[in-house]
Amino acid sequence: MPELVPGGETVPLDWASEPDEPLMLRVQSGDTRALELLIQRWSPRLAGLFYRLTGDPHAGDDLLQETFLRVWSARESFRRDARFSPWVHSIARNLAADRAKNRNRKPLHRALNAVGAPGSTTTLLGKIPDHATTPFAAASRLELLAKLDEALRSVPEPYREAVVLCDLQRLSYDDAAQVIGVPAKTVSSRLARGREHLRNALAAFRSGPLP
Amino acid sequence: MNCTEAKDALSALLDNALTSDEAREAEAHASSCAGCRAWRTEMAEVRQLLRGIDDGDEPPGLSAFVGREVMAAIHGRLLGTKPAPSPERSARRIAWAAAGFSALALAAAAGWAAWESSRRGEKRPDRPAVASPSAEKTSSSVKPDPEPVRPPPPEVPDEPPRPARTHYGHLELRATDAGTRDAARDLFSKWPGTFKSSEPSVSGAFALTIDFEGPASDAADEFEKLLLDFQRKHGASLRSWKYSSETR
Repeated sequence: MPELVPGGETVPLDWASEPDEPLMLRVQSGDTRALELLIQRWSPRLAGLFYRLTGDPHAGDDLLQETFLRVWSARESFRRDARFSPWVHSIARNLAADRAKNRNRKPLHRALNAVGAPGSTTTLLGKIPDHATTPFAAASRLELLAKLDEALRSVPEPYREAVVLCDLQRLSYDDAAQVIGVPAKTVSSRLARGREHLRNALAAFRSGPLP
Repeated sequence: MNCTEAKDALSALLDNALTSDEAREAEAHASSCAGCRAWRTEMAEVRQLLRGIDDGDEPPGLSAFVGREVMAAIHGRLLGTKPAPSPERSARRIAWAAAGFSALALAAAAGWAAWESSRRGEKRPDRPAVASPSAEKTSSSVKPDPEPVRPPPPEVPDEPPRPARTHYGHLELRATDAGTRDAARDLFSKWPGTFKSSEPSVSGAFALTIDFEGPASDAADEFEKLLLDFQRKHGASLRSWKYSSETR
């Protein structure tokens, strides 16, 4: 039997537990199965990033495609000592910025009326684990969460970007700095300003301590 | 350290992103500045609220199978899995699943196969028009047009004989019990090929590998039917699987 092209290399069945970097090195050598696994692993998280940065809940599908097409086409540029998370975040962030620029509008504004209605379980803040023990507490929480969703959109872009990358995507200051292309101190400062903007946006709403 | 610098530092302190000297300096400022102490408390609340959001969850607007859809699109764009204009062009499909995703991934693989099939189905010859203009103007007062004389079809030169095409497949799967492994062996043994199975691993899983080949005409679809049938019966006992195939 001729050697199989797609399945020519036998990959360990537990390769799904491999970290991102070895998988990316497999991609670098042309292994599309490793690319598939990275896509599966990273799609939800990057779709969240696109939603936060563009405000378009439907931006994820085509931006995800573009992101991983670039991962594939730029695979040679992935250094062996690099980490995958900041690398793929850089690609995704640049694509989101291009999208926002091409549409000639500020990111996130379009989503104001599209999602985020109080009580909606599909808003960003609907993802906060619900520890409310009474219907009243649950309703209050949903209202607060929807308000926080709005507040996040009102934060000026450079600050919101730092909040999204550090607080939502959980990147370190150094990784976020690499993604944005600024010093880590700048990320730290922007993050402080972003949190402060959020606090101010929530101030009118808050009547008690945050949950 | 003034208050602006202190706020940056106190925010970073919440993330453990300061050196010990910087942290000490920030703490010293906060201990003597009530405004910055209150600011730090509020920032801690905002941070806690944001960190409670799991951004790894599926965000709004993202379909459950977006990963599969992205894979499908990328396969189409990178690997040329669109319906081939030439019958000589080989089709290739890859379905996979990873440990912990067995049920979802098996469904995704089925969706992938269906997607591939539907794409192939789109490449059908154009149908003839339902009604011709001459048919539309026919009425009881108007004689129907005589049957048009159709020109003979142009002669098509005989195509040179093509070499027979063969479908090659490679399946690896890991089952939680020997019964599932044996069931897979029984099911897939209908296909000519080699079959390898392993003794249970440390984790108690049974791995098996099947390489097979068959006539290209229907082999891909028939093997996918077998896979789907196996999924229905034994999906809960599968820990992982990987399937790749090629028609040449």
